[in-house]
Amino acid sequence: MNRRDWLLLFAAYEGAPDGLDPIRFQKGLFLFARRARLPARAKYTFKPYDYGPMSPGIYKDLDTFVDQGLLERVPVPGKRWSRYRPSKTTFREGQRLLEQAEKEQVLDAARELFQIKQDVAGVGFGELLERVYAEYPEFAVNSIFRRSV
Amino acid sequence: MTLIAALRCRDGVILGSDSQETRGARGHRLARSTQKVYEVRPGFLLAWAGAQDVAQGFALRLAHRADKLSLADDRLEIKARLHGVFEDLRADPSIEGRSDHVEFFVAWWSRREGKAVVLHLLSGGAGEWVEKWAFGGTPLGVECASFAASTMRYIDPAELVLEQAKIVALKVLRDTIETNVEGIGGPVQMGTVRESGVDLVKDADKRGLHDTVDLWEAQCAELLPGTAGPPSESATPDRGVRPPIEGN
Repeated sequence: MNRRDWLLLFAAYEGAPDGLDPIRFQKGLFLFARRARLPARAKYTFKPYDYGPMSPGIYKDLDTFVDQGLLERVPVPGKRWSRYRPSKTTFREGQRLLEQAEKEQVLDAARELFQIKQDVAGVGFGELLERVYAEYPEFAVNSIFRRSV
Repeated sequence: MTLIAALRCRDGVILGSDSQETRGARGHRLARSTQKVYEVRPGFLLAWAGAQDVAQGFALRLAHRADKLSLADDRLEIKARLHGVFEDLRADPSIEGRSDHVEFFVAWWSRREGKAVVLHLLSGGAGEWVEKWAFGGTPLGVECASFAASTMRYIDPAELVLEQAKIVALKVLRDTIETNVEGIGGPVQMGTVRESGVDLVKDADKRGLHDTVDLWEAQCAELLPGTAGPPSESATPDRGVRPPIEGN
């Protein structure tokens, strides 16, 4: 499985039925890249950015998924950003990717990704950033937001 | 018309603009995208508002004719040369008085002073140094942008580093563009000047900057009790997949 597969599986997992914002995709796939025991090609590369770790590749791949009908871009009332919402197609692809993960014997990584999704979807932005910054301070060096820890 | 903005912060300067050019009479106007912020010559960042051909005339003169313009010069000398370029432009018979409807921000790193400076060149030929915020272009756009900046008067630009100031500038510009003032629109364009030189913010970088502003606003909202919870609290039925439990 390559990094795009893991990104799509992250989107297909339960935990956020209305979809996720780009920041949570960034943080989720970052935590996965640090924690999962997988080869480099299965992970995005991150740089310390204004809001902590960021990978331009995630933006690009999310756009591709939207173009391919694998995700829907949904405006959020009162906000400027959109959420990326999974559809039936996403869930179908997600199931297929889980089967592939089993074949490739990387179900542990798939479980890790699932737990990360529950974590990032279950907290506010402030807490999410604090957790990531606390665990990986080297990726907070360019953050423009003040840290409370 | 256009909206252009300049913001000086602790370690640099930001120039920004909308990206829409409007042509034609009222009721018959056409809008198209155009580049309004660019490095006009090495080390000099330009933002323009007004008639495009006049602005191009100024930029071309500045790029090719102002031979003696050097970042090592005193800023007053540079200012005098920029005025000279502008006067030369105003004397051009093909312009026919349309230079009354153009204005510029020119920013560079003053090596003598060890800081970034911005000159606001106004239609009438006057020039003003920008200390914190300055706006140019369509009057209603300038009014809206000034208001947007004033809503963040608790933030002192002089205390911000360039990366933070970019976020503040982006917020002011996009908030202003979203008011739909006639004659301004399209994506925000931005460039910066710091000691290391001029840097134009590329589209890919702008996406991250927009997300940073969104995140800033979302965190502000989170401070108020009763605002929407995290995505997991959605009442929408969840049809997502999950991995098999370990051991199964």
